Amino acid sequence: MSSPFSTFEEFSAAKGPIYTFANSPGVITFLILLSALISLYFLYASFGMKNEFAKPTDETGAIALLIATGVSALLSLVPGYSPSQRLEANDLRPTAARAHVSPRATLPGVLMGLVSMTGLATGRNRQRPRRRPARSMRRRQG
Amino acid sequence: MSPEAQEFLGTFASETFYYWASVFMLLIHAGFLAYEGGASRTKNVLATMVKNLLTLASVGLAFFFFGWWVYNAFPLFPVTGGILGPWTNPEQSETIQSAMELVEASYPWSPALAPNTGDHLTGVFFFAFALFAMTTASILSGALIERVKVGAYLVLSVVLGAFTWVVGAAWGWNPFGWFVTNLGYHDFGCSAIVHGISGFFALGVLINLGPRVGKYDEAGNPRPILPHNLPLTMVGLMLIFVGFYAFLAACVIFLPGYTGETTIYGTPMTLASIGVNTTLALAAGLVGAYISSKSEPFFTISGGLAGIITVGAGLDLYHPALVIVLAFAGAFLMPKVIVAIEKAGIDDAVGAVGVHGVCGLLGAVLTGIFAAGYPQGADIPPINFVGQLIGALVSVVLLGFIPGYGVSWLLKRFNLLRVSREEEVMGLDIADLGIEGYPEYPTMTLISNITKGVGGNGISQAPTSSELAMD
Repeated sequence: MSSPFSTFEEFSAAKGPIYTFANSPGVITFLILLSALISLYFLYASFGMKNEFAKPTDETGAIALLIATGVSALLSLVPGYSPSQRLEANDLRPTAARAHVSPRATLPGVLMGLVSMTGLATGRNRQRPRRRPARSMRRRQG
Repeated sequence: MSPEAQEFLGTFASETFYYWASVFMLLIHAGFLAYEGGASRTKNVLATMVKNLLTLASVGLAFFFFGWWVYNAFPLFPVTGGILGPWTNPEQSETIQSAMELVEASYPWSPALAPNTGDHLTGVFFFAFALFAMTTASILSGALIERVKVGAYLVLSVVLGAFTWVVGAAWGWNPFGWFVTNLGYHDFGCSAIVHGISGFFALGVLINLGPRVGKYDEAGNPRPILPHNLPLTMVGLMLIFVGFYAFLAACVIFLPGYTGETTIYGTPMTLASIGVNTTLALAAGLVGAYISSKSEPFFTISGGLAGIITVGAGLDLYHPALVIVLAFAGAFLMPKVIVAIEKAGIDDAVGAVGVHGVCGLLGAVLTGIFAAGYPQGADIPPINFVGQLIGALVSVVLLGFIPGYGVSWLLKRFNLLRVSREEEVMGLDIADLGIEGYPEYPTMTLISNITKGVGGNGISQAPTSSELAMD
């Protein structure tokens, strides 16, 4: 049962979570992971939507890498996630004294994700150099 | 603050909340107007929009004359009692006594609906329900565009908007309704009660109405009849989304003296959760339809609506992550359903059966699985799969498909349902209204007269009016 309540009295007097599976954190975790997967799949799929998406594209690995890099870069923003931030948390110096250090600690990871995103986009748009029309053709157009 | 002033503040909070929620619900109609107008061809744009506009008139008036009374009079009929009216003795039971207070306030001659300092709330609830009713009928409007007679549509809109869905609401969206008291039915956002009923009503009508001229080739294969203004259609759907937030907010019950918000069933809930879940349903619905339809714009934006409708019935209870998964699934399914319906020879111009009918039915049934076991009252069964399934099926078949099919069949028998082939080919703007929607611009008819053949992009289009006229 998805209901955390067994009687109406209990339900109507509830002063807290009333949502489905509130008493089954495992189910909620699974649903959050599933919804995250859907979201990531959406990003992945959007790259090849008009290119017969059913067939895997040549860039599957690159797109997966991009998403993974992007996610890891975002995770580096989470306080306490990156080793540099953990070190920072133990630093007892006044905040003002450390202010100039912290941006450098978090930004590289984020930038790496953004740079790789740009690189991939450039790669995808790279096309064969357009062949110049033959001289005879240009003459005809002229 | 004096106790009287404090008491009045509670009344005013309720009155104001439902008043403004209903005003914002009107955006749904602005959206439907733009959505259908954009989905039609240039020769039908004005007639399509005027037809939709008239829904406000036909349903608004009918809802005043009898629709509001039907909501209050039919909850017990035919399972736990009769139809309540001036003939009913309120002394029969406590339930009837409580219900009769609302019935007596819903007659067109009731002082409760007129300016009355003794009743601030009956009028705003009438307002909200009238807007619900217009929304339900508007869903039908889009499916029938470009070939239905205006009079036939108005009759159908009254039957659906002021009677059949209202009976559904009385049974399944009313604390006295027998769906609720006997089956434990729960449909917070009216998945089956509004959307399922109107979607399947539209299906019944479409079977009798038949496809638009040129929709199918000789072999019966469907041909695309493209919207003349897809951007307008998309803006329309955005307006519908905004209106939907108001629609769902108006499903929250907060009355003077309450210490918390409840659903219409008396179960606790929060308005905040509606904000979160509606937003996520919209987002996940767009994703589902985008992927399923391979980024087809019309399906993609309809996916937002499909997502919200799929989770509407349990929106007050679902965890946000569950909303994402279910809305994605419903919207992913929707384009497949619409294509299957089209292949079956049913020309549903805006996909109303797929978006509203099937997602609405699905939404009500899913609540029986994913919100099973929630208690709803002392003597009321908890939410359960069988109750949801029965309630949803009775709604869509008995109150949706059968009346839609029956009334449209009668109209067809008297040749009142569909415009003539000549009028359809000419376009309903000229045939019905005598003016064109875009008199100063080159229309597709003019262009096709000039180019005489295959469209500029190399894709063969459905026959234009001039070609058909020549045929």
